[in-house]
Amino acid sequence: MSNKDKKNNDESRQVFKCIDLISNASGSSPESYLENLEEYISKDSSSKSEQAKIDRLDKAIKFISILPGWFAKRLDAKTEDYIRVLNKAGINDRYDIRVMLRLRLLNSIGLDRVAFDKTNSVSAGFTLALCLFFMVLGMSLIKFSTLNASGNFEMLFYWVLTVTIAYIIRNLWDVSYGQIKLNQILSGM
Amino acid sequence: MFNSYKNITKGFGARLKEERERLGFSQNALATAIGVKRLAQGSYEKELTSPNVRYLADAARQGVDLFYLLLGKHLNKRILSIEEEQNIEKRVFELIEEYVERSCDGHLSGDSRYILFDLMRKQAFESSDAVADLSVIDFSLYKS
Repeated sequence: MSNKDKKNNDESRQVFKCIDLISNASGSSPESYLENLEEYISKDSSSKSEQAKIDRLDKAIKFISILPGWFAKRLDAKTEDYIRVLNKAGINDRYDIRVMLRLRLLNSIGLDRVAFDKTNSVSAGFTLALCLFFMVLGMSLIKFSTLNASGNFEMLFYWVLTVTIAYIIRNLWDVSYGQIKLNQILSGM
Repeated sequence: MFNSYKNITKGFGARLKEERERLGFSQNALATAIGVKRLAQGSYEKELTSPNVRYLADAARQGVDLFYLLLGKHLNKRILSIEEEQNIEKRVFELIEEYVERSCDGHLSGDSRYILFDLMRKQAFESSDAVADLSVIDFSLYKS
């Protein structure tokens, strides 16, 4: 389906929904009919904002689901603690409460700066440590090697250095992208 | 399946056929005039698929009564003064703007707005305990 078709279908859906409101509203005079219709329209828009909230929560869940397993487990345990407290206080364990809590926990423990992309997610600190390890390893190999520093080892060092720098840059980009994305989700709530 | 919109009153296909015949169109002629294939026109009349807003707007241009087609009733218009009609139309216009802003993120084509305006206006005109339903008047009494 092309974008144009999709747009037409969306518009048709909106129009038919409004036709539904028009046929459901009633009144004994034109004025009372229009007042009744206005009520229907405002109810419809509030249900739409509810739907938008659910969509945002779904996005948030997708975001959380790409975090590393160990982190999700830790978050789940913390969330369960909070939910138990809330339940004791008489607040039901609702789906949106659960997601909100998870996001707040993300923020509170400073892991909203987690780098991520579609296939992989690694914390910025871990990435940095990994890169430093490779750099030190490369330099050590050259310094302590009985082989001549020039030649293959030198090439290897430059290769490792290049990959490391590229990796740092990519992860820095991921961190900022992740930060923006999370802020967008949170600001929508 | 005719399930894209559950909103329209039952018998949409039969009313579409009735309107087409009232206007003197064959299936093929109406389909050509609107710009759809004859098979599509046939499937709308059999309620196998549902038309979109563009189809409805083009059908209205060909003379199809959308109020009857979509809501399944003929307009029994209350007798109103020009000023009353203008006030109602103004209010209807405002309500459509409100709907578009709240539920459609501010975007709705002119055709769609026109369809909604026409239906809302007619439904408001009809809303009354004392509508002027000309169909129930026995004109034979006045012949003599």
